[in-house]
This record gives sequence, C-alpha cells and structure tokens, in this order.
Amino acid sequence: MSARWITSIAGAAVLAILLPAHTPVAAQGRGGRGGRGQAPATPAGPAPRLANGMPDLSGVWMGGGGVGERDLKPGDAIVLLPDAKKLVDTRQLKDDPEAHCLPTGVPRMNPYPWRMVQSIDQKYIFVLFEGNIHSYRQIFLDGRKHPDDPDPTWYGHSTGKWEGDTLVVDTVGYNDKFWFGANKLPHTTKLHTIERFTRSDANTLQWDITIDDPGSYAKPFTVRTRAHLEPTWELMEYICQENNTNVGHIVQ
Amino acid sequence: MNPRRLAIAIAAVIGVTAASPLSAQQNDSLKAISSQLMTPAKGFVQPKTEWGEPDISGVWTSDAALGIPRERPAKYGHRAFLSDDEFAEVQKADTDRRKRGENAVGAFRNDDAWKTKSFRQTSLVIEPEDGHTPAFTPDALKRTATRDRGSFGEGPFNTPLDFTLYDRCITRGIVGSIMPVVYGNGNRIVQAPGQVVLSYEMIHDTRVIYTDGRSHVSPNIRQYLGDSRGHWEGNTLVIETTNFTDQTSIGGGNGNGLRHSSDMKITERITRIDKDELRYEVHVDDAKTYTKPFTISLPLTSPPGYELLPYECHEGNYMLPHSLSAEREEDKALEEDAKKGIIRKRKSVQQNLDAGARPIPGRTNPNDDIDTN
Repeated sequence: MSARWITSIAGAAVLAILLPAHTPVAAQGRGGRGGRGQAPATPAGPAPRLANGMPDLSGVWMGGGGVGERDLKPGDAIVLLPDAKKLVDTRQLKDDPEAHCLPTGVPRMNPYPWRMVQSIDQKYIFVLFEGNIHSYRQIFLDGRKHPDDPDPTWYGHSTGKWEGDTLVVDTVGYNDKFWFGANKLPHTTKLHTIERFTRSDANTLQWDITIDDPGSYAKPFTVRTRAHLEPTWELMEYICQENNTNVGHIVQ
Repeated sequence: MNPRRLAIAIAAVIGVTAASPLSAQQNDSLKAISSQLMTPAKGFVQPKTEWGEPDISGVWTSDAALGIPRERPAKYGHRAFLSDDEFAEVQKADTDRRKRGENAVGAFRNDDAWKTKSFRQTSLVIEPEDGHTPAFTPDALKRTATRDRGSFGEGPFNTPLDFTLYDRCITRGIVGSIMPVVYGNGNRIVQAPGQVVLSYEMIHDTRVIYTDGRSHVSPNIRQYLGDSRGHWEGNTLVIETTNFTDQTSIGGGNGNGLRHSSDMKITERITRIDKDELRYEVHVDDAKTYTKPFTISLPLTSPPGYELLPYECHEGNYMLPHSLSAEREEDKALEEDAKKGIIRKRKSVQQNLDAGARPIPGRTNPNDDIDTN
C-alpha cells in the first residue's frame, strides 16, 4: 500500500519551501527517498512500447528535474552572469513563487509524483503534476514550429520529436518568473530548454535537460536527472492555494 | 601439476583416506575438494624439523595463484577442477604470462615470472559449492564507508580514517596478506618448538602462531591479525584465529573492502605437498558479515631464487597528506568559484582515473547513479 500522505496543504507548502532543489523532504510523512521504501520492489524489465513500436513514456513518475550542481553533466558548470549572481545572492525563500502557489516552470519538480500522458494520436504529450499547483505542461508532437513571438508563459511553448527512442522537447517562450529550485537559480525570457527523455528500462526515465539562457548564464549547461516509476500510485489532489498559511511564516 | 600426480590425487580421493583428517565442519564436497588439493605429490617425503614437526618453513609465494580467478567463472558451475583440455589452455596462458613478465620493461618486470607451476582449480573460492564469496548480510551493508575503497575510490577524504588500512600501511589482514596481487606476494614461514611464525612481504606483518597448546588470550584483547593457535593434524598445520578487531576486511584486493565483524573466526590449513609447494586453505566464518561461511584455497610455491624484498610501506608515502590537502584545496577552489558565480561539481581526488591517470573503462561520472529529488 502506498505510504505517501499529505497532512495539510500548509504542511505541503512548508515542505516545498524547505526543500532545496534536490533533497527529499524529511517531515510530513513523505520522506522523499525514505518514504518509498515501503513500496514493493519492482523488477526492471525493458521499457514498454506502444502498439506502433514507439517507446511508451506514460506512467506515474517520481523525481528528476533538479537543476543544480549535483546532476551536472561531467565537465559542465553553471556560470552565473553578474545580474544572475546578484539575484541568487539577494533572493529570499519567502519570495519563491513556488511558495505562493505559482508554477514551478521547467524542469523543477516538487517531491510529488507526476504523470506523463501520451495522446492516442501521438500528437500531444501532457505532463500532469500532482504537486505545485496541479497544473500541466503540453508538448506538441505534430511537427509545428515555435511561434515567432510567443507569449511569455511559465511553462513555455514546447515542441517534441522522437530521435530513436529518445523524446527531444524544445521549449522557448518562457517568462522570467520561476526559480529553478530553492537554490534560487534564475532565468530570463531568453531561456531555451532542450529536454531528452529516455525510458532506459521499465522503471527508469532518464531526463536530461540543457539550460541555454544567455541572459543569466555565460554558457549552456546540462543536467542529467532521473525519475523512477511508481507503478501502484495515482496522482492525488493537491490544492496549493487552499489553507496556504505557512507562506506568512517564512521570514527570509 | 603433471597428469601422473593428478591421477594419484584422484586415486587418493577415491581411495577414501585423505592425507590428513579434516574437521567435521567441512561438508562432503568441500572435504573432497580440500583433500584432493592437499594430497602430496607422488614420491614426496615430508621433511621434519629437528623436534619432529612437519617442516613447512621457507619462502613461499602466492604468485603461484596468479591467473586462478578468485570467483569461479559461470561456465564451470559447481566444478572445482578443470578438465584436461581446460587445463592445457591454462598451462599455455600461464606460460604466456610468465614470458610477458620476464620480457616486461620497467617497474613490473618479472612480476609474473615467478608463476612456474599451473594448477587445476577453477577458482580460489572452493566453498560454497558455487565457488563464489557469499553475499554480505544486510547488517554488514550498513557498514559501508569511504574507507572501504580508500585511495582506490572517489572519497571524499576528510580524515585519515577515510582510507584503508593498506593505504595507511597498517595491515592487509590475514586473507588480504596472502591473496596474490601485482607484487609483494612473498611469505616466510619460520618454525621453532611451540611456534610457527608467518611473515608477509607486503606490508611486512608477522604472525606468531603458538603450537604449544596454550589457550587464546582474553576476549578483551583484540588485534588486527587476531590471536592464533595452531596444532598439527597429520602433516597439516591447523590454525584457529580469534580475537579480531572489526577494522580489517576480507573482500577486495589488499584487504580493502567492507569490514568484517569482531566475531569473525578464521581457520587455516597448511600442508606441504611437495618440496617446493604448500597448499594453503583459509576458512572464514562471520555470520554477522557473510550469509554463509566460505573457504579459499591457494597454492604457495618456492621458485628458486625467490626472495622477500623489503616493502617499506611508509617510506615516501605521501598519498594521505596529498589526498587530504587536495580535498581542502578543492574546498577553497569551490568557494572561489562560487564567489565568481560559478556553480560546478566538486572534483574528486581520483577523478575516476586509474594509476597513471588512465581512465577506467566503463566509468565516466562517479555520480552517475544518483537518485532523484
């Protein structure tokens, strides 16, 4: 039986605040890595495929999406431009948009599961979040190009295509409002992300993200993250805005 | 081992009485394997010391065991001995190895040149039946630490305790001291009435094994090499060792690896089976660390001209201070970079490189296997 439970929205908001970009939260019964110790071990078979032979990325996934030095591709570094460094040095956690129930953008994930859904006609992939604000990303796989002048949005405009067994998602049109994590890493509207999703075995989704933002970073860098499958879990309801009392308690 | 001797050895097994009686704790197939390995060469007359003990003294190298895999390759299954065809291949491989050693240029010249005999074991591990060191217990796995690999690993190194006892020139432990590695595989046995003394070339540990019937020291006294008591069973010296600390390890080369518990008991059997050959068997029993007891058996030979050379471990041993200072330099470098707005991964001391700064095949990022958020 799945062991995860969320006692209160406020509690969950606190979790999100106290959570650095990639460390699992210790309290609230979630326990990140520790909490899932109660799930039965699933043997890792090969990645499943759809009827047409394409890889099936669908499922409830946990983890991945951390932008920080831990998952950096060997040889890469996050080199902050002076304005970006100033932001990192002066930002306060109480101002993290995530704490105010605003979207986490791309690719930041809260320590709650998320679901990949592929449409039957293969023209859309949706990423549904349990955590953050119960929102979603949509990835267009119908071959369309990015608009020349996209409206800046929290999740950007994402187009996807398959390269072999890897889904490559190209996104532009971001606003400059979300943080990459509790590490306060910023971005500008120049942000361009390239994500590569590969289901290396039935239980593992390799998720590499290249961050290319000449407004914040001297050079692009890539993080190699990994999500694991939660075969017995469903997404639960999480209404961030309801009873979000902790926001007022965070002092810095 | 020549075919005639093997035939005698097999005949000895079939003929029921082994050269030396074995402890009742050995299971049947272990008994048979051990007995076959301990069977003396045809025509070999066991020399005795002045006071009438079998004479196992001399200089004995485990170079003899080079090329015998420690863990049994899957293709042999539960077979402890090679077939004739397989043995012929092994003999050829051993000859090639010896020639390479003799013709090598540089620091490793002649290191393999002392492997002058071939053996029919499929693996050094002869118990359990599958020829594999048993798995660690869950409790044992809780003991994993940076020091298990020490300088052969990625650290981080913050204190001398993050290195292995081999790094620190303290000891390689009983099993680590006898298992062959690249060099330094010499052992010297000296006997006196009431004692057998075993000295290891690398890193010059010496054990005194009392054979005068005295009992073990108090359990409150713990030693890296334990406390050894020996007795003779026929021509076999049986050594029982207890009183271990929990600081050494059996596992990896040079005694590196996950540590055993202080409850470990080791039983060794040494038989001289030819004028230039000993058979050495070590049985490890530590239920807190290994799910089953296991036995390793290896030949030790005395090729003409082989000597123990001084291994002055600590002379020029700057590895510890260099590794520790490199870590502290990296601390500073990370701080400097952070001030400049550069966020990057910490560089480890080893950088996943092997000796001579060569990349280790199959290893790119030491953090490749990290978990999720």
